[in-house]
Amino acid sequence: MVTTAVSARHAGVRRLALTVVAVWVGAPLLPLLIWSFTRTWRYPDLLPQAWTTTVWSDLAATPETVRALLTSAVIAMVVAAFATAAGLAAGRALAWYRVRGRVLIELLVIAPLLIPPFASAMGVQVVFIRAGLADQPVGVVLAHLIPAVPYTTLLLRAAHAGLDPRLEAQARTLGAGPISAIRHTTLPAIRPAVAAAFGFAFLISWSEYLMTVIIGGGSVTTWPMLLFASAAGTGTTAATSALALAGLIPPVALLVVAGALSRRARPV
Amino acid sequence: MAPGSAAAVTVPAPIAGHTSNVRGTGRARVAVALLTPALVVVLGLFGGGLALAVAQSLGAAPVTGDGTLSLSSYTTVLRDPEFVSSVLTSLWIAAASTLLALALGTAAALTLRSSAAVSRGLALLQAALPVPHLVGAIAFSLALADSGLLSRLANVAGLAGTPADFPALVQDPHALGIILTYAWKETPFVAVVALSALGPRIREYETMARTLAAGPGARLRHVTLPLLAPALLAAGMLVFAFTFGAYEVPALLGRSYPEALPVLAYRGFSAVELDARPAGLAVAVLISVVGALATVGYGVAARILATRTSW
Amino acid sequence: MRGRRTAAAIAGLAVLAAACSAPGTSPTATAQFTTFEQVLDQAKGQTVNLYAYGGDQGANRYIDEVLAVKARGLGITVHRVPVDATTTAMQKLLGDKQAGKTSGGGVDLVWVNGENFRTGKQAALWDCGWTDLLPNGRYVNWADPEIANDFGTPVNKCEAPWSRAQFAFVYDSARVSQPPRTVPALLDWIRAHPGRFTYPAPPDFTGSVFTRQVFYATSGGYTTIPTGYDHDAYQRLSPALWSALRGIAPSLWRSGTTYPTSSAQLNTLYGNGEVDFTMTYGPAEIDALVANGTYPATTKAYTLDDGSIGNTAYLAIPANAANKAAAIAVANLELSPEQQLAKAQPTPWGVYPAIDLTRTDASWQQKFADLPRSAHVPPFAELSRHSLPELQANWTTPLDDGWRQEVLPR
Repeated sequence: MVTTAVSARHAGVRRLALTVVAVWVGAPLLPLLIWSFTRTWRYPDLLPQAWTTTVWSDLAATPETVRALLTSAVIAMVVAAFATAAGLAAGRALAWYRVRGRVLIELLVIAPLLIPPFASAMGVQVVFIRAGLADQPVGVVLAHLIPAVPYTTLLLRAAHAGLDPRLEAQARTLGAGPISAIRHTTLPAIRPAVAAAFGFAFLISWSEYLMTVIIGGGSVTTWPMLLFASAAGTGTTAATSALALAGLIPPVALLVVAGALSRRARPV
Repeated sequence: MAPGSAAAVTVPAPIAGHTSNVRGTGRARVAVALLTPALVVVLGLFGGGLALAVAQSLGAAPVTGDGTLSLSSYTTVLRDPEFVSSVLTSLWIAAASTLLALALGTAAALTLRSSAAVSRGLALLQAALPVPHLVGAIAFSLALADSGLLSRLANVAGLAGTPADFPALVQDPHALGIILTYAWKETPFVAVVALSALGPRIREYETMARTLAAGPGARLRHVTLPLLAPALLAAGMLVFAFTFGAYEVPALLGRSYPEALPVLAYRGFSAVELDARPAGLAVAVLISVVGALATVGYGVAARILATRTSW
Repeated sequence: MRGRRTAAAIAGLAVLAAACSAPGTSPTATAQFTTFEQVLDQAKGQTVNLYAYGGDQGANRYIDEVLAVKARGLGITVHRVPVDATTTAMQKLLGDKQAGKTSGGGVDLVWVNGENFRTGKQAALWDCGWTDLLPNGRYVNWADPEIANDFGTPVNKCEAPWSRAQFAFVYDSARVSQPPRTVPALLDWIRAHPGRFTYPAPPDFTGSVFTRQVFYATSGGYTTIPTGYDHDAYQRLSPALWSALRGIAPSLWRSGTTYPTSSAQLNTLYGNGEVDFTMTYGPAEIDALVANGTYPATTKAYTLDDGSIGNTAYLAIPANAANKAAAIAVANLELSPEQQLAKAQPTPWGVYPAIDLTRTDASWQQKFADLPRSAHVPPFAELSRHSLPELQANWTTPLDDGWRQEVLPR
């Protein structure tokens, strides 16, 4: 009897804790959701008098929105691919190899997480303009790599560090080439971390605003640029809300896919 | 804070002996080759960009080459009373956001653990991670504005008759809207870090303390929190540096005076008057100095973390 | 040590890019074209990046749905780049200039005036002389001081008129029966109605005009202020302005502890009924805002009897623009009576024409006369009856900065 009472109380506490967390995470997004389905929502109404889906259909019908979402997606995919590749290499070196000046290199890698990278974007802008990289998606990709590469490197270093490099060496002694050894021993083992690194790098690029403005001027219009301009006064509350929510879809979708991939890779 | 930084805080120590079997000059060459792409980014792009920012803040014109070096932009900035207010504003925003996120995040992690809801809790917390700060700022501006959702709830509850009765939480003198947005966004991050750090080893120590008849409060104070401290310190450092140097949230939710430092920096950099540009860069460089100090601090914290985890 | 060598090579990379050869300078339009036919020939197939403030939905729709459609007939694609302030475009041009990028620039046309135009002219960012090429230039009275000077800066063929604006106050006649007719009366009204008025914080464009409107009054009239910025005059005249603005601050919305950061935010406050007044440089937009329910139906616009500031907005072409021919063709297109009339139509936009209607033939004059009358906004002739010119643009920054230092922190 006592145990059931305790476990019932436990279940209650658990439900309460989970509810609090869910409300914490979800409640602030509620006004966005409501505003994206109405044009006028006057004080002090708790809910709008009239609902509409035209905010969303207008958004989908605006070519510049669709273009910006596509631009953001392409840039973020390229950033994620490069940052994951660079992170894989650097993570492997830092975890498995004797590297001279390791402490310094590790500090260098962590630095862009602590020093806001926009300062370096401000510095490099003039060179990018001259080199024809500014106003171009490629320049924006380069800028986004600054915050993305540290994340992928740290994640993938951790993944390598948790793995015994002798596995790969054994595959080599069994006649596998270096690439094939990596493909068949190391990569499968760290696949969840690779998926996570890719997802995070995508997310960093997808969310980046200030560096895109500095390097891309107005020419490379990404989703955060449209959203910021809209929020700063060029858009109505309804349009801004729908645009904000629209931009949540790709990263959430990617995270779900990455999550599914990493679960599948988990040893059973 | 982007979610990946959780990894930065919870790096497992390398398995002993791994590095020793990979010696030799050939391997050293491989290591350099492997590190090159990442170093091109952090040293070339990031370091090079910072160096160029410093040079231009001193008046150099790296491309046209017709600049003259001087400290005048720094003296202008440091003598501007708005700069001092901006430093204080940014310090207040960063400190308050960090402390709130640490307190709430740790509490959430400990509660989720004790109620055995770790995996579902983690899933919920991670759902907040992909929300960009820009979206968070917009959401909070709609929730906290004086005609926002909270104010309407206050009206329904009979606490506020008009929007003006509701306390200013957006573009307010105490930057509360900014701090609340950051607290909302960084709390899940801290909670995820804390949950990953609350590994089985901490459990062992707690059990040990329980057998020594330590009460729950004492266990928390003398066992759990001290063991969590390095991870929380590192997470706090990341949150502090981020909230000190981020632009979007204070740009949308901040007052027009005094502005947060990154807003001041970008306004100078993007100003139409040409002489404002070096001043904007100077502010950006000064923010970077704070970030560099945080980097060193982080390095120290990470060392402590590494020694603790290799017990 | 190998590592060090690699590091040095990497560090050099960012700077290496700077060593790229200097791009050639764009020829000026007048050097490139002698007739408008040449312009049209070359313009075919070009895309114009038109940088325009994106906060005016009516203007956005006019550009996308009217101007761009018509330009397509000339083989020109108009790509509107929405910016949250024209300074974004200026920053880009200045960045190009600093980087020595003198051709192939990404900005072809800028909707501009005032301080931005002046700075651009000082830094030689504009292509000049091309307005002579415009056939539709015959509809413009270039000698009119309100056209020939952009906030006191001579236009000098560096920009073509786009539209006219008149600064007006907007109020809810259901709440305010007798709106104040002069600046001193307005200041009294504000003190008598605490919390019901505010203005956007300069350097917001509208907030900045409001400050100047009060400055005219506290200085004893527009004529007492030197048109060009003068530091002594600033020292002498601005204290009265600051004390007037500090004086009303406690009676403003939120007791003046904070100000709306944009005119859009002020409009939202007005739409929500949190304040009784808003203000605009484009009163013609009000009909649309009432129609879609943003503003109450009892909204009215008016100008003060002691004067209201008016100005002209222009299109300018950067000296390093990549698509000058198409930019000139679009600037010509928008000066046609047809486009000026389309701009003046309340749907989608509704803005005052920059051309001299007496220079158009009678059928066009009739069409302008037949524009629908607004229930909320007096006709332009009445709005502009007490029109006052803008001060020279070099006043804008000192006044905006002064406001940040003298009024905001209190």
